[in-house]
Amino acid sequence: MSIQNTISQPFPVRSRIRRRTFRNAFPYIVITPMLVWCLVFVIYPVAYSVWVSLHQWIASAPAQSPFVGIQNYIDLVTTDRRFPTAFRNTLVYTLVVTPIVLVIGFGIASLMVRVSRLTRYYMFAFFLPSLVPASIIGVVFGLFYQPTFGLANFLLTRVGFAPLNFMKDPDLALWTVATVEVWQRLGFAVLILYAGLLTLPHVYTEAARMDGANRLQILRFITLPLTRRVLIFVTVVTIIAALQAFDLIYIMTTSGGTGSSPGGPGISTYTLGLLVYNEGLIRGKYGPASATATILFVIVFGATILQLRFFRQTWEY
Amino acid sequence: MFKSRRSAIVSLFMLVCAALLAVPQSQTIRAQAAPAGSLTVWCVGFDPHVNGWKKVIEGYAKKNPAAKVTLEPQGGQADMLAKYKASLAAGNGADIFTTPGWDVYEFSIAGQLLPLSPQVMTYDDAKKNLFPEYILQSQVDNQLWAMGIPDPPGDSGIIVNLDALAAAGLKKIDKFDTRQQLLDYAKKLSVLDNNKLVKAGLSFQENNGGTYLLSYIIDQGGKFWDNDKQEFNFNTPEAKNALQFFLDLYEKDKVDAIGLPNAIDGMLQGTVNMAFLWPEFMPFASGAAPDKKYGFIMKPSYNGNTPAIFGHADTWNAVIPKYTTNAPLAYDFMRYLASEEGQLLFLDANPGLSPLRSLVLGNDYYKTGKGAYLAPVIDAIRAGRLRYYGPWLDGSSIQYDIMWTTIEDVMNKRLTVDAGLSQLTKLSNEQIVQSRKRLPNAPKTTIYFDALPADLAIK
Repeated sequence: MSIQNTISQPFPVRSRIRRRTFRNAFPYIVITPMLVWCLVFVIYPVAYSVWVSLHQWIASAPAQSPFVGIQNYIDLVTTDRRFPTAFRNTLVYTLVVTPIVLVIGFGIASLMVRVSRLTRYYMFAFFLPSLVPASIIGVVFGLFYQPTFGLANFLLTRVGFAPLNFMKDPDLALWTVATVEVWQRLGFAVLILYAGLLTLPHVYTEAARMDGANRLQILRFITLPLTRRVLIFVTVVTIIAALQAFDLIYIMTTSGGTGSSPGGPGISTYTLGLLVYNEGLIRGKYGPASATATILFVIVFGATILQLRFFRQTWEY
Repeated sequence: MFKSRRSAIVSLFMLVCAALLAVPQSQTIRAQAAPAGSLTVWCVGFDPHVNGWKKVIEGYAKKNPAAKVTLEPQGGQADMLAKYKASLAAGNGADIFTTPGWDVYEFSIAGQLLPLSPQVMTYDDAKKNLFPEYILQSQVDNQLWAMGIPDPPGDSGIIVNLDALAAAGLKKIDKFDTRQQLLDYAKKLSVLDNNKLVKAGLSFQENNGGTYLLSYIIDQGGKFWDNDKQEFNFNTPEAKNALQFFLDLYEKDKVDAIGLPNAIDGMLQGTVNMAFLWPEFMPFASGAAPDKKYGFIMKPSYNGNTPAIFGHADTWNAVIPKYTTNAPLAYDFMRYLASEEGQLLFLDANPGLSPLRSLVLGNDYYKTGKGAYLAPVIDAIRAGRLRYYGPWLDGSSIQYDIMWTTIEDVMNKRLTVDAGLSQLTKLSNEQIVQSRKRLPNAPKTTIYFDALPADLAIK
């Protein structure tokens, strides 16, 4: 017995220590690949972009790029006429697209909860635009909004309105693209909100109804608070997408010229995303492009943090 | 045969030695004449260029079967340049690529290209054999940095829908003598429906339109660039007249409307009958709209009665990036491209002006062949009306992001003509200052407004 004890005792202890060490280290081991991926492909590029934004960057000889501090940021704000337009357009575009997507999306999702037949068909129909590449949507809606022979003006004139220069009028072009953005984003919002509404416990609405609450009161005091998390998710995702608006604007405003500059007519549809692309990828001006990208990153990051704090849910059901 | 075994052995030994010496020598000669290996060529994804390159590569393959040249067409001009810049920065990519002239200037300043002189052509020969724009864009270290590919000068003329011309009862002419004649054609080509313009008689909606503006400024004896101060100035009466002329097409003459599609889309769709447009549109349209027929008419000079001044600032060129691993083959291929044979093959797919003076000024291709439509342009060249605008650093920013967007702002009545020209001056100069900060050693830009320098002039 004593011999057995002396021999066997140290092993379980060591084994326990090893097991505990492994158990403690396991989460870190599991997240290490993701952490490395995040460092290499997210943190490093963002940090590098900020570093580039502080230089008069020479792509062919980065080591010779002169450090200019915040000069690129100052130039953007003080001399580049596209930046104020792009900044304003980005904010306004986001502030218009997001509420419309949320309100219409929530409305459709609420209606769909009541529909008992062909639900999948409707869901597929609403979600389809989210599956179509933006390039195709851009081309199709470019033709739809074509002033001379487009379907939009055909319909407008049929109901007695004057035709509009949708994509050629500087005051109208951005809003024309916004309608397409709403159409494209709506399906995703409907899908998520519909799923959220389906998970709501009916007992609360039933109780409210028995207490005499009308539909509006049920919506305001029961449905909206209970779907808050889903609403926050859809809001955050839509805001981030709208702030980074690029693809539809690029496709719908690119004219056919060889050296085409999207963002027209003039500079009326420039957004921050488009400015980054134009300066960095088309013109090779990496310093100003990185400065614009950094500003856009700060806006998106700040907006997301604010939303998460503002809409924080402190209770469970 | 041999007197002794010894003499036979000596003879055999000498024979072997001679053979051993001869083998590497012949290999060297072969290597110089026709280097082997493989090359990759990138070009803009534009049918006339792609087809031209295919023909040149096929021609070269017959000359040098030991070489394998692969063509990889890229995207549109902007996306293509983005890829080139990334490729040059990374030091890896195609062995030859095509690029506009102002990028040749920028890439050569940054030391990212291999000079083509003397391997393809000595600099002195290039000055004699090539059109001046190909020398003026290569202003770094007195070297030739690029070999031009056939390309008609962008602002030399006007493209017209021939069916619309016939329908309007108008005769196809080679050149417009006056702006009034051009406007008369434009008015007759405009189609109205209930007093609403549904087909433009003359469109100016194309983002290379700025070069037409520059030419019409010089055509009046004006200047837009100060060679001493290295500054733009569009606040001149000549610039105002030129911009007003283009604006009047929309406001006074009403031969186009802002709401109608831009020149390229409109010509392809049939909603624009005539446009200030680059002649390369024609080979492009033969693929994009094969049911339509288009023709070229040389634009009128601003004042009329003299050949119009035009600037070939939008050259297209083949360059060899410094990182290439097969420079001998790249040079050999460039020599073929620079030959009359190579140029004619390219011209078969893309009828434009070859950079070779001898070809343009003497070959039947421009008298009776596909290039005959350029006869009035060649006459204007002989009359000393060819100019070159630039090169400027960030030329594409000036051309497209500043010049065209400002013109569009004026056309959309967001700016008056005067305010537009002031903005053009201010923004262009700010761009020049910024670009200079990035590449302070860039050679100065000299525009020869009155006539090209004597050593480049075309007799």
